[in-house]
Amino acid sequence: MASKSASPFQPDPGPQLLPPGPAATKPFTPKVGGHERRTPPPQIDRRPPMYQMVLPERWGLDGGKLRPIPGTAKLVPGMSGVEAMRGGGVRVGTMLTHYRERGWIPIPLDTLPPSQAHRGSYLCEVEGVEDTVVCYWQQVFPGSREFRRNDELYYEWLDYVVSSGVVPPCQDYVVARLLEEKTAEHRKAVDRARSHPSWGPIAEDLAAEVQLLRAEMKKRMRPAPQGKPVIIEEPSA
Amino acid sequence: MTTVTTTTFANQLVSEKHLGVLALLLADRGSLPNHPALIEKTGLEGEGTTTFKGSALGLMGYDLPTGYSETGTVTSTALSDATASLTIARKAKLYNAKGLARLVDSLGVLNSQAMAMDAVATMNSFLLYQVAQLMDNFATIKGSSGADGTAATFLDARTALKIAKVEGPYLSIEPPRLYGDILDDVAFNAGGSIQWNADCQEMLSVAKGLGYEGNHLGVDRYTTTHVLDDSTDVWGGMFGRGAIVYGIASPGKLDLNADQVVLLNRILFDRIRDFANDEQGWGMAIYAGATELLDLCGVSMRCGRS
Repeated sequence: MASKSASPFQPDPGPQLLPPGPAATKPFTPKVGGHERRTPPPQIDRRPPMYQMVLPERWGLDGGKLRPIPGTAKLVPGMSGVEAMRGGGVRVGTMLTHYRERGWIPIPLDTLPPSQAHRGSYLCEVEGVEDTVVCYWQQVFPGSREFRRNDELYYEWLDYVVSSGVVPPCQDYVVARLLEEKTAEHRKAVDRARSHPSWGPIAEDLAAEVQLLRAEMKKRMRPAPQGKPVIIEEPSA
Repeated sequence: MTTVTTTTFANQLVSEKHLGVLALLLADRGSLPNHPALIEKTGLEGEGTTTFKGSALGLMGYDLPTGYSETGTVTSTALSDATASLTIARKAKLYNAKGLARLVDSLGVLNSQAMAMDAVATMNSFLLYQVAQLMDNFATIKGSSGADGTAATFLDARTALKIAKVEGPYLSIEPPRLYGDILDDVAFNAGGSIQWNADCQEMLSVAKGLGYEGNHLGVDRYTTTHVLDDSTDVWGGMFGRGAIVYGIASPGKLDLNADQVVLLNRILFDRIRDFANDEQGWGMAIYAGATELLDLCGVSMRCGRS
């Protein structure tokens, strides 16, 4: 069959401006300000990334157990020796030395219990909030200023930090000092509870803490270490 | 009969007119004056480094003499010292506005004067932020996790500083929750037996900076939300001279051009004009840093965050 060739006498139709069928569309969501039905981001304040760190002397009772009380080294240029790096990172060598010289043990970011090892870091960015970093055991909520700790995750991490040897166990003298402090607090609370009944439960809580520390002390009772004897020379007669 | 209503008259009405009321959005706008408990270091320009060393020496009565017999040989005493590195870094922000927006601005904020005032307030707030962020890192802690702060928390911190031989006057930087808890406890349990010299809005108090709450037992107390909130507790701290050193370099040593101004000898204020895009920018930068020097000069205080 011979092919039809365009007649040189017919006018060129040009580009087809009105194709048959409906015009193409693509999804579109208008920005409508306050009426937008979208999950709002958490409303918490900006938080810089922070190294968790532990001081061997900073222990306390947390969740009914003797646990370290971590401090935080903020990764903010200008704070405690942190320097800004080209490309947006921070240089932390001076900061780490600064804290180590003062007895702190900065906890490496990848120190995670086996159940959380897939995370790679104990820090997480909060989606939708600029420059805001929390730890994985801290919870934020859409549209809210609420900021909570998941105790189960936190204690799992903290206990792992101790059991894995990243920080040394609590020293005996620290337990003894805590026991003295809690005993004094308990006595004051008992006094107060006599005139202010609302202090009753506080005094009971403190009594439980004192018991816990006493039990801990009992477990640790050992003979005192033998030191070099101090010789006091008596004047000759 | 056709009555004129706002609907029928709509073509002749403007959609909105500014009320003439301008409120500031909520923010922590506190500031710290040059309090004696803080060590401020200036003159950090032209030294060839961004890192400086702060020192503390065991002199002026630090070591007591040792007793010797008449023929005994005196042994050398080691000169004790401590040091901390202070690093300064650039902190900056920039606002931009198009020419048309500036032209129709009825609030009078899209101009250099308003932006310069913002730059000064920003620097004050930032200096407070820097110091507040260091409050949770003292080795000594007072207050219990998750519990309300009490007058005892405050008194214990003060006593710990006295025992550590820290010179006064002391400065206390507290989250509002801790401050409120202590105030409640003082009012509820201690009655009038604790001295309280509350801020009384005198002119003198103005000089102490925004966030100043008063002087309690010789401690100047400030509140701020710039302190650490660890999702269980909020942290504050009380300290004396030697705990914190902060430094701020003067941009006045830069080779400034006609659009740059130095404010308060601390802030580089820059007006940036982009004619092609009809854009005016106002930038501010400070070159500052803060660090802890002597840990025992401070005590961290905490209380439950709610």
